[in-house]
Amino acid sequence: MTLLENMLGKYYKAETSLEEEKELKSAVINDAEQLVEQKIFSFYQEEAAVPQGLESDLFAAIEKESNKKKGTRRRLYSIISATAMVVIVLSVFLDVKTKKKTKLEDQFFVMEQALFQVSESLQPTQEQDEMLVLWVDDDVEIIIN
Amino acid sequence: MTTDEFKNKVLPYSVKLYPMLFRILKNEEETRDALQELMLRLWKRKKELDNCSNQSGYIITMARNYSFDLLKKKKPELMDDAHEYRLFNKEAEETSQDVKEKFYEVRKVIDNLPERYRTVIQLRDIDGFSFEEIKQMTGYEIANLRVILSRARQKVKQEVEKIYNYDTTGKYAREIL
Repeated sequence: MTLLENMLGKYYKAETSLEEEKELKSAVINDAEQLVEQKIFSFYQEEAAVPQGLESDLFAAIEKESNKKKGTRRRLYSIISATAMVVIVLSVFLDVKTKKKTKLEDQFFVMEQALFQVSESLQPTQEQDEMLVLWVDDDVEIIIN
Repeated sequence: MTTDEFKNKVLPYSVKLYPMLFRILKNEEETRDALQELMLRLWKRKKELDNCSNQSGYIITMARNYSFDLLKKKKPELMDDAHEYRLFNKEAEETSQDVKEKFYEVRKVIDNLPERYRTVIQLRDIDGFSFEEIKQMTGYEIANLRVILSRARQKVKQEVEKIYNYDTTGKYAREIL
């Protein structure tokens, strides 16, 4: 029994390893003798064929996806940082504005108080409402404040 | 998992997965797209793959589930021109009608096998999956797988022999006539 026949026997018992099957199929396909296995193995070989450059195409797609993800993440970071900048600038701006407003209000209050004091000092003292009239006749009036 | 690790450990599965997906989709372009989608899914789960003790099992399980999804979606369709060209190109080169017949007959024999015979023989003899991987795909125990594969291989041989003898007889008959 030749080595090939022996191997074929193992093959039909499903006792061959993947490596052995690979070698066996290659040997049978290239064998000059027209074995029935030659047809079968040629069919398997044909069916197992993959398009040229399949793996490199797939790898390119993976790399593209990987870069896209990185790009998306980078874009996200830049959006977040831009937003953060806007928030900081806005909060500083609003704070300054609020402080300015408060300062103006304070100044106005001080001014108002000063004016009020001035106006008070300028106005004649009001007559006291409560007076005690002790005596009134044609000639004399006795009043106690 | 880095892109290089993915390239060395996961991407080589595409050689086995392509014929398997092609049998479902029967179209070169769709198979390429499907395989790319499957690889991208695996890429997105590279962290899980890293933590997985049985990476091969993980890949096979994902591929199996994915092919089930494809089967559910797939409507019966004829093979595309590219595949037809690829299939018959070799025959055109050899300018022999026998080659075309040979593949056609073998294909027919395989297609007519009982489902479990057909599945196991295709996964092993066409795709080149290991017994462990076929076990994960089909759920059959390895001892049982060997029995199924052995019977399927013998059956294919018998059937192809029958056709070959028939064809030879036919040829002789034609020559005599």
